[in-house]
Amino acid sequence: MAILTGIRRLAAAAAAIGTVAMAPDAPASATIEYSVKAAYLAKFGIFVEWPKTAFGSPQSPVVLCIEGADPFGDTLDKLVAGQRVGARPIVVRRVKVIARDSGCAILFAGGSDAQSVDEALAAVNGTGVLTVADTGHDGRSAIVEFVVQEGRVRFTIDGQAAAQNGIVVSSHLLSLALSVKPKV
Amino acid sequence: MRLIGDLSIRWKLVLIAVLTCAIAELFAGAVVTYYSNTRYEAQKSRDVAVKAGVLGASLTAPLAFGDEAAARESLDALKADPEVAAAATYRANGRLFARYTRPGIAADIFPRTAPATGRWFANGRLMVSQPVIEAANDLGRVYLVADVDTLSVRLLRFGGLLLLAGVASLFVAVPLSMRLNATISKQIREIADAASRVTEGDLNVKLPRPGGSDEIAVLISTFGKMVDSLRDLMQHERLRALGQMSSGIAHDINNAMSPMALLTQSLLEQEKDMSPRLRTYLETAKRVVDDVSATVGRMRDFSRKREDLALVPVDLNVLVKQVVELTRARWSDIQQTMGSVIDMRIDLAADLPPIMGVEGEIREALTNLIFNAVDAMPEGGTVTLRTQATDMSSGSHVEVEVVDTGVGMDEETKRRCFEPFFTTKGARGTGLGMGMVYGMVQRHSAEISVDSEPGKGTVVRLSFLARMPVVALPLPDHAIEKNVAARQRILLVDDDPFVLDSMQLVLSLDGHDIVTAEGGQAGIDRFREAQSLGQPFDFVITDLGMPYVDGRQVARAVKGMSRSTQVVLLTGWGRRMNAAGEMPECVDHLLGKPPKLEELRATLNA
Repeated sequence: MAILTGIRRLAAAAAAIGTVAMAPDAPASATIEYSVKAAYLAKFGIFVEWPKTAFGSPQSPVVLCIEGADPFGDTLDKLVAGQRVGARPIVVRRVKVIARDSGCAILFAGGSDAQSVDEALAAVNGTGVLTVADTGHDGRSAIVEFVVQEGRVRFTIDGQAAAQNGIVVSSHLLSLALSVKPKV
Repeated sequence: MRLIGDLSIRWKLVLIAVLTCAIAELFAGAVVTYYSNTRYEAQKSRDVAVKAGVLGASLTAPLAFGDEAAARESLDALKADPEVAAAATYRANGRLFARYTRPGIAADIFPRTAPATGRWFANGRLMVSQPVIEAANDLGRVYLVADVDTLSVRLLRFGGLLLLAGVASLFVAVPLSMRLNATISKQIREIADAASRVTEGDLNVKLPRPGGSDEIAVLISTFGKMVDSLRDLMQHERLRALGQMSSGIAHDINNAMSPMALLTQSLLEQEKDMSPRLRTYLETAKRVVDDVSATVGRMRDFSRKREDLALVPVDLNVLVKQVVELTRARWSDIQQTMGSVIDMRIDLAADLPPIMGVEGEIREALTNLIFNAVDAMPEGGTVTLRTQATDMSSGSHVEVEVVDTGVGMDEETKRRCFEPFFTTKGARGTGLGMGMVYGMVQRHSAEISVDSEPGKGTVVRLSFLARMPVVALPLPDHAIEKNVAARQRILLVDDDPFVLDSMQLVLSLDGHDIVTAEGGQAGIDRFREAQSLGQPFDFVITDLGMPYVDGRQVARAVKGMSRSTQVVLLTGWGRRMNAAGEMPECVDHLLGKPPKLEELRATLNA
């Protein structure tokens, strides 16, 4: 019951974002939960500061990499279309195996047989990438991890992981986080 | 205005202070109100904009992630701010996202789509619409509706404050100004009291002591001078009235005494074989008549005027010595009878300049003063007569002081001592002594001051203007010849039959041919008859003061008919006129009343 209402609320939230076009005929489309997560992913960039060396120029796009399984489908592409982080456009890139030089600004580690979530995170550790993952995977944690609580998609923030990657997370984002693991 | 006019000065001054306070406050209030009003809206919109900014910052993540619950949570925090009537946030696409309204505010207060950014006032409220931006990303709008005090509310609040300040300042200003103006109003009230007492005739009012040299002090001192001069004037007036009365009485008494004087004198001269007893009686009678005429003469002195006096150079040192000698009997008498010792001291300045005056008058005044000094010392003491020359701005003066160590005078006595008939000596005193002194001082244009305190003695100081004699008038030598004049034909004119009779009697005894006429007109008629009959008169002796036709008219008529006839004017004023060197026209001789036989004879011999 709680989950049902939670999902209904999620749907409402996603609808409120206004960019989620629910297309039941399109199998590539995400579930409601991942639609919401996609909406978050599209916006996280606004609330973080990357190290100065992360981008070549002020107009360089923010590359949002999806590693492993892609749960978002074209929902994410639609969401980021026209979205900007400051002056930078957002570009979605799907990568099977992430490497240190993959050029990602934001990484959603979905995990796959080829590269587990932990391995993906390890690959970009200390490289100025905002790492995002679903909670509950093995090994180290991503900077932002999605949590479904009481039927709502929420997230936690690991300040230590952010510090390791030189990412500064806005207090506004922290205020919305379910929990924040402080820097040590 | 009428009401204010009736207020006492004290309350007027308080009113002035309060009004000044109120006006100053009003101006200050107006300026503050104007300033704060002009500043209010700018300040307010800045404040609300800051609030909107803070709100917007908390709305970035909820807007970015479409977290309506979080947005509403942020908006609901505004409950703590009663000033905010409503708040809303819009998404970047302009759609209303979350809202908050204070209880009692209609939900349709928000525009359907995001309003343009800005701040504006409408319907007594301030609207602020600001973008919500995170890292240069426009995430939506925050829209705040805040209550604004209307102008009237603000004015009312300021008015209340002003009123409060006003009341508070009244509590300070009123007692303070009352305290400060108490001195002013008290003195003015005292002056007003004094003035009304003066109006009621009390010239002995005590004036407040001036507390400085301000206008009130000037007012007090001027008022004091006014009262003083009023007092002098009344004193002068009283003496003048007394003088008039006494001269009238003197005239009547002289007329009455004239026959007595002439007849007793005549009897004493003519009757050689009187019994010694009769002679003694007559001599006593004559002495009494002389005394009376001397007393009457003194009374008349009150009415004398300055111009009537023949002023001669007087050495006050000499006069003082004379007076001390003359009064010796009085103060050494006391020494013998009462056993009290009067020590008479003379302290005379050398090289004292002379003054112009009438010796007799000054002598009499000094005599009076010495008597007073002696009377003031029943237990004995010291009388000092001191002369000294002083130089003042008005010229050099000669002062005579009569100083005693007697009982002194209180204020009342000092004030009234010159009043005629005022005496402290009971039946012994006439109350005229000091009045005579005062009269003498007035006639000599001198000044008199009395310093005295009960128990501390008295100093009476006479101050004369020192003057070099312009012309030293040799006093006429009144060597009276006893010789009976040659037989003359004389017309006597007087309105008093007794005077006529006695004069006729006396002059007939001297062998003169006497015709009498009662009254001026009768005299002129008699003279004309005699002229027409070829029996002209050698002398016409006429009284001056007669009803209808007086002595001057008689003299004029006589001289008109016969230039050679000698006219003798007989008058109570005669001696004085003569002394002043004035001679009425058509008059050859002036004689005083009562006429002395010797003077009459001398005149007829001349």
